[in-house]
Amino acid sequence: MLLRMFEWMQASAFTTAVQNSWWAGAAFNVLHLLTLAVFAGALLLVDLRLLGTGLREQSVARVAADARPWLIGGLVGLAITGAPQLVSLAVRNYYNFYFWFKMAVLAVALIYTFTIRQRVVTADESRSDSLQAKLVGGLSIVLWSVVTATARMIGLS
Amino acid sequence: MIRSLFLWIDSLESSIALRESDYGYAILLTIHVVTIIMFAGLILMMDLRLLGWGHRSSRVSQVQSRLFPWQMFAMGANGLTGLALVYAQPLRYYPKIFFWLKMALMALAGLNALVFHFTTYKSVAQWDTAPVPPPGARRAGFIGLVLWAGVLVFGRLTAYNWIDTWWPWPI
Repeated sequence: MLLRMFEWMQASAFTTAVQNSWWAGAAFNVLHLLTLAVFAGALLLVDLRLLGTGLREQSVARVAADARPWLIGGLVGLAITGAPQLVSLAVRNYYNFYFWFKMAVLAVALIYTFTIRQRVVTADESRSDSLQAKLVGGLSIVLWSVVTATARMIGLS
Repeated sequence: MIRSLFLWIDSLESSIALRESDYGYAILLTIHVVTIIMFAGLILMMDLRLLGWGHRSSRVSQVQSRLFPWQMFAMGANGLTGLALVYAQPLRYYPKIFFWLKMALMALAGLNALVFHFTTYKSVAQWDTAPVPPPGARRAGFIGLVLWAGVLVFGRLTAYNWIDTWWPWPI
């Protein structure tokens, strides 16, 4: 069922157009990397603050509020530039272990970022320097680093 | 001279060993990508503050000084893995135009940061809390943004072979 969907994507006119273009595949990939930098910068700024370093003069909630438009904008950019790569390389992705590994960690990282991490960054300021805050910030960096690393491994395998 | 250096590195046993190792190159490349994203992300956040486009509630000097150690940490890890990648496959990188464009943009980005630090940044006390910094700071932020984006673009184009980027003469 899933394989049929990936084969359908592979056979689409969009995939043919991307594969017949000398620049489209490269452009989607490069734009994906640029939007990842936007997302990662906004994420790291808050995670470093949760770890008790970085912009220490500001509250966690303030740093997170300032970073949020770039975090959401980066994520939307990642989805927009990632989808064409998923479609145009569908069958290759389907048989790639790292693709599925990335998708699994990505799902965990997204849920984590917008539930547990979100609760901590908007929590009472007296708890922002707690061990819990440091663990949440550290785990966020680890999760998103794994997503980035496995994404690169897709291209290597 | 540079060509001779790259050819010499290519012939070294340690270069060959790294090149032929099963996982060495892939691990280095993966760390290189993760650290460039961390570095570029933090540089971008700083440039957004210089442009007055983001993080306006933080002082410019705080953004500069607090993020600097982490930027240097990411850049150090990124530089070391980058050197190791070139060391492992010097003849893969030497003939690629995009590789040299990436190096040139990195040098320009470093120069831009130095010029800003020794000129406009000297008067930071006067505009530290300003939501929109003066034109000199905005200019440095914008140039930094464009140059580092270029480094990411040419870095990615170097790693993949989507577009023929060889010099018109053979190595």
